[in-house]
Amino acid sequence: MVKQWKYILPLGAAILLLIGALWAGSQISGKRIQPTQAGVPVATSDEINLMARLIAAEAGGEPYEGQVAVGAVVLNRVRSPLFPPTISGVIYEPWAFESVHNGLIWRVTDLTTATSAAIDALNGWDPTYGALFFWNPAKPVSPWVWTRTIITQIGRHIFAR
Amino acid sequence: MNYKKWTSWAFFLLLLAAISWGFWERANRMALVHAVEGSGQRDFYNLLSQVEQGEVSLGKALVSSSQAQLAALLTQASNQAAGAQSSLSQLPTPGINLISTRKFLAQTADYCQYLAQKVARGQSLSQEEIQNLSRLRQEMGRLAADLHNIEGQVAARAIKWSSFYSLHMPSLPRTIAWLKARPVQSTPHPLEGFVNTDRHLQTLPSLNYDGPFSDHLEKARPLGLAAHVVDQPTAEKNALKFANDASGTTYRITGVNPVNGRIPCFGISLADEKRPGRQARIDVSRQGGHIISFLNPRPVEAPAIDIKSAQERAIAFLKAQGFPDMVPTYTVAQGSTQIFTFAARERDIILYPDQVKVKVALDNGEIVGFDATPFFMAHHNRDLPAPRISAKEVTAKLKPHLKVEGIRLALIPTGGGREVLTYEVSTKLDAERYLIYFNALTGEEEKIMKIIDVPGGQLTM
Repeated sequence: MVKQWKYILPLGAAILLLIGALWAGSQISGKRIQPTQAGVPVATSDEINLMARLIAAEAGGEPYEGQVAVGAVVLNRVRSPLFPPTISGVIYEPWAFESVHNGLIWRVTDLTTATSAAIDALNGWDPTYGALFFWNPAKPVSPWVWTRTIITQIGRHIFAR
Repeated sequence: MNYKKWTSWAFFLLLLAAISWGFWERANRMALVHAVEGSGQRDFYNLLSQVEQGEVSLGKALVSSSQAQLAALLTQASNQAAGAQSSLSQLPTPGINLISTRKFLAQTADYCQYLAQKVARGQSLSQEEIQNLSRLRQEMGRLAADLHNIEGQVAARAIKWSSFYSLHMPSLPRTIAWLKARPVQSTPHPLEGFVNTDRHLQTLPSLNYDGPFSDHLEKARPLGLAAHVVDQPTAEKNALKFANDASGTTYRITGVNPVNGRIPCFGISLADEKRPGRQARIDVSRQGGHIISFLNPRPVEAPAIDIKSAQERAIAFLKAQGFPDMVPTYTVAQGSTQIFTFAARERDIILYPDQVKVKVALDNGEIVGFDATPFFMAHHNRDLPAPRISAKEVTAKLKPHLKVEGIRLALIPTGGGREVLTYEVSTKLDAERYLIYFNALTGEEEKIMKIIDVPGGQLTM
């Protein structure tokens, strides 16, 4: 019994170190910085990943154009005087997005469609033609947002300016 | 007997563990509370100081008699207003939208920037612009006074930034008889000061100038749509014709949603009849029945055709859809698809505002994406003047160490939506390529864009 205990401790430490090394290695991104087309805000690959996380967290089960629309709302906010002038500024603005507030943005794992949606939004596709707000009418939301001009509904989200 | 002793000891230890865990959690939470409190205080005091400094810079700009000083002061004011907007948007103010305050600060920053550039070019400010600056200075002063009032509350710790992040106990039902009904909260909401300031700033008159935050851009109307309005059946017919052409298949309409954005459209969802499970989305404008955008998110296989054939497909597709002479300008790869950007051409002038994007799948040459929003916003019959400067004069202005690779006429948009006729000079500095735009009427340098080569295309910055 004592002999086995002697080995378990260093073995456990070794496993922890291995996990730590793998996790640290995954943090180092090998992607290059990629600005987008003229006229659209310049985004680094980290921002594409950030936008994809937001899209996956906010519009995970939505149709593809709904996901592109959420990305387009973020970019419309960047270009608007009413919101911060950078992508991370818009996404991390306190209380702007529920999934940042409750941590869902860090827990999403499946980012394949969300990444394509983010890149399409960065390349200029905007199914909402200028929306600055979106919300799910079935969930509780500030009554003020209903006073904005409603543009359209895609899937479960209403988009407004 | 033994068993009982063991269980009571176990319960006692469990209780001890639970209580110490509670204390540990609280200690952690208090550390976070102090961190959040600290950053809230920092952002508030930054906001206050930047607004005050912005007001002072604007005041100095209004009394300065030197052009150089004026440009520097306006730039300073612009930076301070932009910094103030940034600090303001980091304050946790849940349930309240300080949108008008943010808009005011962003517009002030942008307007001062625009005027600073104007002064740097040697032009003087007009009467209206001086009046606008004076008005902006007054409002900044008023905002600073309001923030000082709020600061009193912040210093007295009546506003706790961290409190906005804590969970609140649900309110007890009023039917519990033995609890006296509590009076409605008569103390003002801690952030009421901000709300009043914001309400006042909503009432400011609109600011129109040549910059991206000008109010006139809110009212931009699409110029390229035909005059007649189409009904839904016609829109559906146009949609199916376009989508079937683009994808080489037959689609079925699964839903139509009205879109009341910048270009009012029918947002039509399509399902592929030949390849079940595939869906696409197409937007048809209500005025004119034009296809504004099309997106087919199907997974694309490994590339089988090269970029040149893909470009030819895109050009042929645009011609078939009735677009006028379109010139390919930029291209970029996205996975196994290629996005081509086209600009319209009038005589020998490239019209950059009239842009169409086509996304071609490189596995079979299908069109999987199309976006003509900028085209239909900007395309119209323009009476373009003849250039007053010759191409030779323009190239003579360039720095001697630049290598000129080409020169052509181009119409470019400014930040405020104006259009300027320019000469687009393609130059090379060592291994880097730059596009320099010179005004074709005045010869002034309007804009410089750097071309960045990425695998599969180029991008500009």
